[in-house]
Amino acid sequence: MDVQRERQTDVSSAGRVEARDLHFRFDQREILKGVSLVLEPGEVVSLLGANGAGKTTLLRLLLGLVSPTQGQVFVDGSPLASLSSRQIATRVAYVPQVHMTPFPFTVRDVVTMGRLPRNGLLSSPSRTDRDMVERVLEKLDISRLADRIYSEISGGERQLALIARALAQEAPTLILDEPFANLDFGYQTIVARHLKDLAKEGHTILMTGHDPQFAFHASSRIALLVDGRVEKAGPPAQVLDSGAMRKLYGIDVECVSFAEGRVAFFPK
Amino acid sequence: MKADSARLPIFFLGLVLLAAMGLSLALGRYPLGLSDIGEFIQASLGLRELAPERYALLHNIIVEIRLPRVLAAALIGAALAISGTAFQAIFRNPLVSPGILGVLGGAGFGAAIGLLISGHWIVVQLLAFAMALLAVALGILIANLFGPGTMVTLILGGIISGALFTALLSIIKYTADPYNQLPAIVYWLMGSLQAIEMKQISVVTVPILAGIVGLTLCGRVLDALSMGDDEARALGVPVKVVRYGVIVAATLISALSVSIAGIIGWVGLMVPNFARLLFGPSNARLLPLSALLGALFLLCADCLARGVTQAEIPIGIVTELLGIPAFILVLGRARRAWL
Repeated sequence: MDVQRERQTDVSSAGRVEARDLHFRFDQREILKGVSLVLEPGEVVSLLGANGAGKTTLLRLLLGLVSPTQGQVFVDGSPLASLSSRQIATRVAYVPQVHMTPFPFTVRDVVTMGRLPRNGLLSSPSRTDRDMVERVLEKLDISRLADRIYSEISGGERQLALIARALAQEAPTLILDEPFANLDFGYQTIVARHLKDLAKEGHTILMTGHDPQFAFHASSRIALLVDGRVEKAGPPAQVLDSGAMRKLYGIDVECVSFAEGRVAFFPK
Repeated sequence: MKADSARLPIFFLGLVLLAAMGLSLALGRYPLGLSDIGEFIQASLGLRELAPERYALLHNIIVEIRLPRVLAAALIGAALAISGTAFQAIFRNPLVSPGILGVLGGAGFGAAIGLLISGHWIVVQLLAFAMALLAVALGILIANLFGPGTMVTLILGGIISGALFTALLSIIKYTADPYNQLPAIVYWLMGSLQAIEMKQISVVTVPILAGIVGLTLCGRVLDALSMGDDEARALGVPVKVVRYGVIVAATLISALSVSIAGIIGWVGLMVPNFARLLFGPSNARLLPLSALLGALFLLCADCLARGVTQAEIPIGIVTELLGIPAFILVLGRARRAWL
């Protein structure tokens, strides 16, 4: 299966992110002890792990925000360490958890920041940039929010604005830190649907999460981060079972299957 | 809010500033009208004949006495305001002022030493400038003492450094001669544009303008930085370089400003917030606009300082008194955004 995949990506490695045997130590603690993971275009990968397991650390390593104590990250075929911040930003886009800013930036202002890596730090937005921003806002159905102040709209709307900013970077890979946290169920569904559409269009999506139930239906592949390593990675149905839950969270869970491959988890 | 729309307010404010500068040349103890100033300009350009005594009188008042302080007010107001705006962006906090890293405490101490040992204006200004820079350097050093400096440790380092230099200043005040030196020190600390001459203006103009231009270029980068360090870096912004670069530039122009004029507060805290309320938070336009607004504000303050009473009020007092009601106004309107 891996050999086949490698042949397919020989043609173009755009959107392919690989973590190879990543180790990370902080404050004498080994957080990651050899993480290997490959992300391909067209998939939505959910990274699940307990609190403190190192999910955010892994994200930051993949984004080049920190360096691993051992191991390498490859983005689109090139080692991350050889790329400048701007080059990384045009290949991998970061969608952080929804937050606030003390300044009254509009949603359009925030999304326009995504054009920074494309057109230089000292330049002002061109016509192309402005059109791109409008297109991206429309794609996520938030054009109506363009002139609203970012810190005054709802959490779900803010999350969509941050995804729009990442799309404005025109990077093939999107890395999201807990995109469903603090969102109501409606917005969780909307965001999940958008991510699936983006993957279908050829983007590579990686997100961390705390809700295995939601991850099961929102992703095409699930990776379990246990004990500093990726314990298992594959289609949700193969990876998420009661054994996995016990390894991840240390609790006993009952898995119930329904029609059409739907699964629900009930803590015992 | 497109980028082109920044040009119109900048142009408009620029015109208002020039007009204000012209008007303030007419203000002062010796009554001059705009026609007198016009006469003088025409005579200087050789377009008009004036009696030599009248020309000398006008030259003395306009060029030697008033022009330096009008230029100083505009330059210093612009420098302090744009420094405040830039600092607020990099510290992600609209309550930050240029003095947060200790530049004002250091300048006060330096000037006090200068007044103690010499009293000559070159000594005072050089020492004020040098100590201002030293205070900020010390603040940054303290911030990086136990690990790479974060925003919180930078602010703490600035507080510690500022406190140290304020304490040292108190020692100087205590040991100074209470009849001559102490009043000079206290007066210097209140800020004044009265003693500024063209030679000081000619020294500080180019670096201050260069600093203002440099900071203005950082507009979009500062926008990204005010959302968060990680996001900014993920957008390709060299966060550490920008943060320390802005600190250096803003500190330099603030230190230059206070070394020639004394401690002028509130401009760096209040004008950025006022400008943000009027023009929005986008730094590409906010930075130059707050510089222009700061120049205008200090110019008005200076006119009040010398126009209201017979004896001149130190400008630091005027900016504080003007700044407080203005700030309460800003507070009311901006409360929503700050939560």
